[in-house]
Amino acid sequence: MSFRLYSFIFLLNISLGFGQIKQGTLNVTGYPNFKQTLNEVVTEPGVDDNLGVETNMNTSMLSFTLDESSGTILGGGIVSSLVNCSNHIFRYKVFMHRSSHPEYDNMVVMARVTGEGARFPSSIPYDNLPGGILGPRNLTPANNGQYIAIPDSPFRATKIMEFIGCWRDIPIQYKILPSAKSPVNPPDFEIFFTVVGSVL
Amino acid sequence: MNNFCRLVRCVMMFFCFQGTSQEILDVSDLATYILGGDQKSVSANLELLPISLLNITTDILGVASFNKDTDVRVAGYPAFGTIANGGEATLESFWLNYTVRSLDLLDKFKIVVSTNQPLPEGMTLEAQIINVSGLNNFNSTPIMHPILLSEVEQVIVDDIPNGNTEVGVGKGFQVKYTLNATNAGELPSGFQVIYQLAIK
Repeated sequence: MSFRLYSFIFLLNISLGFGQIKQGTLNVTGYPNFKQTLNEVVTEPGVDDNLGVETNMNTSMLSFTLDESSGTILGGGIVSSLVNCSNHIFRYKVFMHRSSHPEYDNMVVMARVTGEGARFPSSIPYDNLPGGILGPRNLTPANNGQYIAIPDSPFRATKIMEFIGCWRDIPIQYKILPSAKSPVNPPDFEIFFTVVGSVL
Repeated sequence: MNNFCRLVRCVMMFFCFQGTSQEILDVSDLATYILGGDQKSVSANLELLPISLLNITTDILGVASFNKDTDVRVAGYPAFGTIANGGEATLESFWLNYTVRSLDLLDKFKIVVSTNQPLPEGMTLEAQIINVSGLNNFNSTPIMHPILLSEVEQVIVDDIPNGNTEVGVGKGFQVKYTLNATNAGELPSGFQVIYQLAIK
């Protein structure tokens, strides 16, 4: 019995290991420049300054597309990113974390995706296959599109969304809940996006 | 049947947990995303506004509280009213609440106290910090001995770093007033005790 189980796990490992996942590239444009405005500052003495400093809806734009690749033995030439994205559909999860600085210890940095963005290409034969192996090429925001706190450690990056196939121009909005304890000009910090692909 | 119900309940609980849990991943290892994934980062910048908000709050009905920043209001002290036979009157249900953030991280604040006009002959008014809420987790230095009030500004709370006290009676620094009068008398009309936040 246990031998069968091990065999199954072994075979599963092989199939995952040799899965035909293709190399892709994540592009992120636009960086958040949080600038607290007067109506985002606390007005009641004694209350902490945590109304929140929010950026525009599309402060950062994310795109993830498969790389172009060299042709097979049978057909030479270069296979474009568009063709690869049309023919190879994978599932992607996007995780976020940020760099850690003591000045941010009392703050909460948050991000959200609204579910907007564009499939790339916009329409492909896969879309008309009933019951495509991974389902429709949809984008699913984590936490129903509400803000999620971004951890300050790569050891526990948090999922911000999941999508099937290649996607472009996914807007990211940010919000920081500061504190009265926070300095006026804390150091810049880094926000990381990690895309993890899978064939399942 | 009971077992079946239990099973259904377990399954339902499992889905509840699934629905609410936020997916976390260790992305510190390149192996997590090297195959079919990617990682990118953007730099973020934060600018906060300086804050200086101060209030003296009380639960004594009919006594006005001061608000240094928006409008300095008159504190009528009806409870002091007429002092019969030169007795000593005390009032101690006043609490200083503040929220501060300095423009320069090295700067600290202080709260100074003064009166807007001299006290009548034979009458003295003292203010004293008698209590600090939350074991002074705001790390300020309160002046715990009585301060003889005059038109000269005197420090009553010193070394205030960025932070906030929370709001209301029982939060921040409790002030006790002691009025001494050798003869019967009244505080002059329009008499005020003024608290101001200042950079040290």
